[in-house]
Amino acid sequence: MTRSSTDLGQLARIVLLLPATIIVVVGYVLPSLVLLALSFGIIPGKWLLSEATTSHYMRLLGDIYYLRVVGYTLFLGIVVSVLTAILAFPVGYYLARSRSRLTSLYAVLTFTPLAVGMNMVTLGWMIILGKTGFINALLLQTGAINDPLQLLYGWGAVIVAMVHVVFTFMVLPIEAVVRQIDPSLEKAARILGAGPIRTFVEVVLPLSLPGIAAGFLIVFLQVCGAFVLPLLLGGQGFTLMPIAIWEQITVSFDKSFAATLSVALILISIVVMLLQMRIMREKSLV
Amino acid sequence: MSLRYLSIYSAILGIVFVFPLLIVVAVSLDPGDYIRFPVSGYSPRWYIEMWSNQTILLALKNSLIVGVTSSLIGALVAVPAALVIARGGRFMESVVYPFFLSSFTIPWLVYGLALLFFWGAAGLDLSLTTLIVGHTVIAIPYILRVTLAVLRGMPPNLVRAARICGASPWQAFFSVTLPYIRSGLVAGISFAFVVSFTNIPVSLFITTADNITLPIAIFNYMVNNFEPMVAAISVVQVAMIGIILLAARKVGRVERS
Amino acid sequence: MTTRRSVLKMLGAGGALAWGGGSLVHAQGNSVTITSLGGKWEQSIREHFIPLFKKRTGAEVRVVLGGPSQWSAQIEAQPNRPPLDAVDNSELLAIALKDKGLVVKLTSDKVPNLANTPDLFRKPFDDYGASYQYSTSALFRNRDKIPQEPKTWPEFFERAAKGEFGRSITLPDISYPWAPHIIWHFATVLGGSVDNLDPAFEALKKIKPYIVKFWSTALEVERMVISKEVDIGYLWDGRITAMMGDKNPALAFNRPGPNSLVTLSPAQVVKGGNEKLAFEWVNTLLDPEPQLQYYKLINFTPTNSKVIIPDNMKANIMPLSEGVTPPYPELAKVTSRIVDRWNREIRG
Repeated sequence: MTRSSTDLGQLARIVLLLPATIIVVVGYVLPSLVLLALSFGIIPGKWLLSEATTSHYMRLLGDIYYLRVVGYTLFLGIVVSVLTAILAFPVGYYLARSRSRLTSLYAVLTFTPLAVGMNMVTLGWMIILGKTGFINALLLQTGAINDPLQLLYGWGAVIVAMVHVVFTFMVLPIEAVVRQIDPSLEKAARILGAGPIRTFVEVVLPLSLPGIAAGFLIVFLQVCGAFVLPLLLGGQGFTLMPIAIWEQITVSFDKSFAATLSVALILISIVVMLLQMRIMREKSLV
Repeated sequence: MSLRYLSIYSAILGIVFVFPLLIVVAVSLDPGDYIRFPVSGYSPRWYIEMWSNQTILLALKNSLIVGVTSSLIGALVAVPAALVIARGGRFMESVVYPFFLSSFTIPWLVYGLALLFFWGAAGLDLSLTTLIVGHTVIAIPYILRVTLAVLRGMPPNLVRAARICGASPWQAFFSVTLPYIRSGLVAGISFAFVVSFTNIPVSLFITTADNITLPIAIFNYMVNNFEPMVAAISVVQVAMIGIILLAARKVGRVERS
Repeated sequence: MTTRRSVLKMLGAGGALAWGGGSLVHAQGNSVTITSLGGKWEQSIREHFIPLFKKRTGAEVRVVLGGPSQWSAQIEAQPNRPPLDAVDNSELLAIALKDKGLVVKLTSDKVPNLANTPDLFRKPFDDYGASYQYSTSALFRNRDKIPQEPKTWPEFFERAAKGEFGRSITLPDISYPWAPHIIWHFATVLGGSVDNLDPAFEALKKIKPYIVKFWSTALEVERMVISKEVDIGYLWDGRITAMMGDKNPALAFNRPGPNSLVTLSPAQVVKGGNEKLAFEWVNTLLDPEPQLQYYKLINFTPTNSKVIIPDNMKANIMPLSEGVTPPYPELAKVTSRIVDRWNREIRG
């Protein structure tokens, strides 16, 4: 295969990659190294005076409480990502395919959760799910229940509000990728006798996997980094990593242990990302 | 798939998602001192108070500056990188691409703290620039991912054909590649803008007198007072984002012949 | 080609905005950078304190919104060129800044109002900080549901553990920065001490089934009070009295005995900042005139003994002899253990 006509020279490659590299190194890699140093007990600015220690890592690994926190965070991340992907796919597909004038309106509707931000989605669901809130008032009025239900402060409230808040993150990449699928492929499959389900499973879904995978990763990482929402809507039974980190900073004043928990969270995220990239690469070989 | 069913489904889901926000709008019109539901009445009190609050106005201005600047700088550096990565190669796939995505994997709260300490160690003053750098770093993966997803679906022959017809690399990029990736790119920039505009955790630890952003202002009000003003500010925030996204959508729409 | 033009247009807009951003950086000379919580706190700082300060000094004031842990982190990150001149701290962080040598001692010649500020509000910090307001531990209660107020903290825990109030209680969560202080206070009124916090944890474990939610921000607890999701709970006195009145006629408050936990916000002068103006600022915070206005807006009590409280507001003020503060240095040593223990035993 001759690639000469489209291929870039070595110099051009370097020039094109350079700006992004500078920003990522200065804005991310160096601060992360400071964080990593902190997790080993080395204080920034006093590099030579402080002694490195692995005690914070030992504490994390030796404490069932913090291991459980890691587990809860993974669980929430996976549940929310899967639920959001299932709910968002039809919407993304519709936005990409429809020629209706209404698509702009739908797009606005699906953008609103993201645009309003975590503060307000949290507040909205608090008011809806509260004991004197909308849902309880409705159920009480219709006689479905006699006593108000405790809907807030648990997994249910956190999952519902979290799916809501990250929804747009899933729709956008799905919409973008479906746009690239030639609609005649689907027509061809239907003409050749495939039913709508088979067309979806064998044509549309495999082709839109890159978009779904992109959305999945973004959503998972959003969940791993959220703290306002689980703090205000969650119960006492489960703590998530961002809250544990926040507590170490604001209550225990233990920045080193906060850094250790953060490094653990970063590692989880990297593993999820690598897994996802691997799955995608295998799919693209099929 | 029948588009009509999908349209109904999308509408229902849209209504479910908009409902909590309508409640927030209702609450923002409550003239009382505390948020309550059902609301005690309707008045523009909190919207009026908001416009005489200098912190809110400064925060609004800062959020616009940081959001627009960081997402556009992000696009300017991410698109060239995406072009190189899309040409493939084992090194690009397994080293360069994960490297650019790596900032994706840091929890925002922690990234804010890391930025604070790094900035201090480097002897720089916290400012709007700190925020723009931070938000650009988190914008790059969003834009890169979406752009790349589109670029990978692009037939390589398109650019090759343009080059054979005598186009320079620049001409080929602007007349073939850019129009092709436009919808994906605009989606990525929109993402990055909104992420920046609504971001709390990254900005939290690096907020000073001059660089406070709107979500931080809302957050500060919210944790201290259960006042309808936070609802009013949020309504304005949504409206601003809505306007900007609609404009972006116009730019990103693929013309159909 | 429309694409290129619109992209360029957007870039132009961004550049213009960034350019405008440059003008935000003020000159440092005749200005002081101070801190404030958001919401009504900021309103009071801007309406009551800043005008007086400007009148006296002619200097500009720049306000950094946020919370103590963020401000302390900023000062610690840049000790040589602190981004703040004066900071409104929490007690434990104030002690930490003092121990690290990052703040300056207040003296009566630089801060004349210090002379009228009782020891309780400055001695815990060795004069490396002085609080301009205080609040005390209190219980709010729905008097329709719970007519009889718990007279003491032990009585509250006993009745709560028996299930007398039902599942309708709220207490602060460990993610609330003052939780360690509160746990210390519970321990001492139940017979423990800073070295023996068992009584507090025992009592908390017993009443845990009756807790609706441990709150971590004022937002949550105010919401639960106003929507009547809880009938009784722990909150600072000023916050409760601010919510009382015509709109919440059933809301009552009391300070259970034998004593009340006092929380302070020590104002500190940061070393290496604009110290001269920062002293002036702390002096303004300790001034009786704006303190009274602050009290009228927020209901957190002024510390200057020269403040004349109107008669109709006097009833809510706690006699200083009933207030206690934790031994901060000792408490600072055990906060990390308190967090771990709470996680294990209360969150389980």
